[in-house]
Amino acid sequence: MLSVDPTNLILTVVNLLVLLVALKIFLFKPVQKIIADRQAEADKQFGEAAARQAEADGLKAQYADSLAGIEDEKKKTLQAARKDADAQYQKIVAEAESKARQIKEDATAEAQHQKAQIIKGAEKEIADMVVDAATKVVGKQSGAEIDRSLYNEFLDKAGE
Amino acid sequence: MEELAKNLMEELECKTVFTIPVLGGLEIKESIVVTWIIMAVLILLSIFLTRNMKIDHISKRQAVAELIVTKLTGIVEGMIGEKGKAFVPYLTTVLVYIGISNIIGLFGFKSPTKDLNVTIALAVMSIVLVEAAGIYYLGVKKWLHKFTEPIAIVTPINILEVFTRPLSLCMRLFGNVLGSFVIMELIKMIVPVFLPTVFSLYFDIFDGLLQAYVFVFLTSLYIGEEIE
Repeated sequence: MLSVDPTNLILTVVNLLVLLVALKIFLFKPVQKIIADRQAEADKQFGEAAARQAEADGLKAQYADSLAGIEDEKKKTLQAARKDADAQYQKIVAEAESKARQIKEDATAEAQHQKAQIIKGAEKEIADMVVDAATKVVGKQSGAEIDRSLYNEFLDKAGE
Repeated sequence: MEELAKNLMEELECKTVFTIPVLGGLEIKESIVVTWIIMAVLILLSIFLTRNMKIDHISKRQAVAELIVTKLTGIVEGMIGEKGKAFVPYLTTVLVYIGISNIIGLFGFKSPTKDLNVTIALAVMSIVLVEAAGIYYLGVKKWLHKFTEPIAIVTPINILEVFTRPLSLCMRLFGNVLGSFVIMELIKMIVPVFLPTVFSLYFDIFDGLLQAYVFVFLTSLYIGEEIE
């Protein structure tokens, strides 16, 4: 129990050193290597994820930009179209107005013309009637008689 | 009583298992053979646990291996700190070896730490490691100067410490293992049923692992002091 024996002392030291080396080779090194590998893998994946995230953010910004551009474009186009339409509308209305005026003027002129013609016709007829009546009266009486009967005749004819 | 004393002495006696017929016959003691058994078991277990390890989708075996290594090295790293990382494998090995040696009595083997030669060897290795670490990290001049710190008058005490430290390490471990063994034998003699189980939990398992921890803790403390 209490005897110190150099052989066993040295052997214990050797045993411990052998155990240390063996555990280092078979346990510590492989496990630590695998853990380090896993860490590296995880770091790599995290890096990749960050890069992808940055890329996605960039794309998102780009899309937002282009989206805003599209919105702008749309607004501009819409405005232009509205302006265009407005102009078209104004033009059409003006055209229609002018056409209507033209038609109205034409119609008025036509009416005037017809009126004039009717009047002319009537005048001619009246003149004929007067001549007719006058011929008739003159054939029957004379003097004041003639004038009165002529007048009455005329009135009768005109009153019809 | 006579009988008990005789039995105890026989149990404590580290028998020579066989003799290697070189250099006038090397007597191989029981403690060395049990150490070989422990080594074989540890090495085979390591090889078994670390066989074809992968980065992901790990097997249960690998998970156990990783758990054991990270926990054990974690304990030792916690004691010695970032600076003494180089000593972690050795200290972990010693922790495992002493821990298993102390509780291997439960499996019917004679604890190697019950042999004074083993604890002396462990303590000598510890102090050699401590001083070597001091010389390696500080250089001979600074290492020598450290003996005169904090004041010159304590130099003899500091020199004495080189011998008292391993002595206390060695004797603490040996005494604890021996003492708990003797107490357990006495308890078994007085109350053979139930009580030994309860006390065995404390003396064999708790104290055994605690002494392994204390040994490694003190060694790492000395190393930490020396390389500061």
